[in-house]
Amino acid sequence: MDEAENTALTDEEIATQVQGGQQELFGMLMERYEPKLSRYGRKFLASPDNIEDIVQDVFISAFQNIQSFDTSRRFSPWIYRIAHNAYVNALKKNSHVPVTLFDFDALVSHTVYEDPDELERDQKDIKAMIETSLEKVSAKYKEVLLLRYYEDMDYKEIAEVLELPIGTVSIRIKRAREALKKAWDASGHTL
Amino acid sequence: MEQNEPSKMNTASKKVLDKIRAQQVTMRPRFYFTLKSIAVAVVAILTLLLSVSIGSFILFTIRTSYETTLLGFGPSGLFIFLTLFPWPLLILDVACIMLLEWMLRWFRFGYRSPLLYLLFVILVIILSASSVIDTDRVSDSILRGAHDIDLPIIGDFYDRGRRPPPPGSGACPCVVLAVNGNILTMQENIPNGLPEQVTVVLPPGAATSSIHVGDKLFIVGTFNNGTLNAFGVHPMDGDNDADDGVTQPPTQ
Repeated sequence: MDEAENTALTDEEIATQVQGGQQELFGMLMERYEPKLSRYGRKFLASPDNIEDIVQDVFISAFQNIQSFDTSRRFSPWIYRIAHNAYVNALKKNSHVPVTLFDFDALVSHTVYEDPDELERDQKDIKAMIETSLEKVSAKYKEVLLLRYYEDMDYKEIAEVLELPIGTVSIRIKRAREALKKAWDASGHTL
Repeated sequence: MEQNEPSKMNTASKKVLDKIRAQQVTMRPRFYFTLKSIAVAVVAILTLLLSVSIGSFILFTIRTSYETTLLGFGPSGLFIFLTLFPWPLLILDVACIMLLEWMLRWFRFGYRSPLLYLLFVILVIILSASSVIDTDRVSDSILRGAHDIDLPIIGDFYDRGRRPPPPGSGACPCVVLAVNGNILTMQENIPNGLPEQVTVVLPPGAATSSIHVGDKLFIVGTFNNGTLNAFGVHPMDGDNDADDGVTQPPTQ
């Protein structure tokens, strides 16, 4: 199969072939995801010194565990889950204060409301706020803001990455926006 | 260029691909993940069974010790119930439940459900199963069987489970030795000790005509100068194997 044909393959098709023994094709998955995971990590950790090492570890872990990937599901949330765990561990290691991602909203169910136009409408404003005020919000809000507004994931995908009920994702994004707006206003910025 | 090598590879990707080619990094086989899931499922089932066993044992304990009757004797009875309740067993059961919930979150159905809902379902299953086991008197059968064949550990365990309340607790599973109006002389069985006599004063107006020498009664009250002022009396029926632990007074 030549390179042009490989480029047309979906992530899930490539993963299936890697599982079947075509290990070289894993390079294609890494090529597609390294920029995304690096960007996510740089924003999440805010200290990009060892991002490349962490991304390497993510890909090594992904390759070692590729046989656990269910090819009937989407590949993106699966590898983002691995990356998310790696970044959270790095954050906990480097943080001087305890990092908590537990949310009481995960205890009970919440109504899910995903506005299809919200992403388009708010993305520009939220991205501007993220650029300047992301550091001032807690880690559990940072992760949903980045996954939603930088990685363009829907609620279901974010729920798979963070292993949370979808209702919790919905309420957490709402609260994250409020926290970001508050941090933005406190800094004296305007849009 | 090697076949399938991406045309523009970043450093991290290239390093990992080199390691894959050099077999420094290998895939874990599929059966590894299958075995892992099976192991988690088996441990989860065993934890569930352990939790149900502990739950049914707690119910056995409070039933055969007549502690459930304390709940019918108002706030004072409730207070004694709470002091006699086997809290260490309950704490152990709660630990099993928390472990079980943690393990269930390995599976998709676990992490997609709100925590409290999952916990609620687990509690319903454990309470229901424990109640069914206790209702069917399974623990009583185990106790009888353990005594019949003189099993050292299980027999002792279940015997301790139906232990009488400690002296001075305000609860007394006793045998009537003498009836003198509303004052009863009773014999209390002391764990690891000789039976002791207790003077019980029933509330004024209590129906004592139905109380006879030799009756086994569960008395609840407050101790005052060695006398138990009763505010609750419950007959100990013969269906309960725990009655075997209350010694009969010597025949005259």
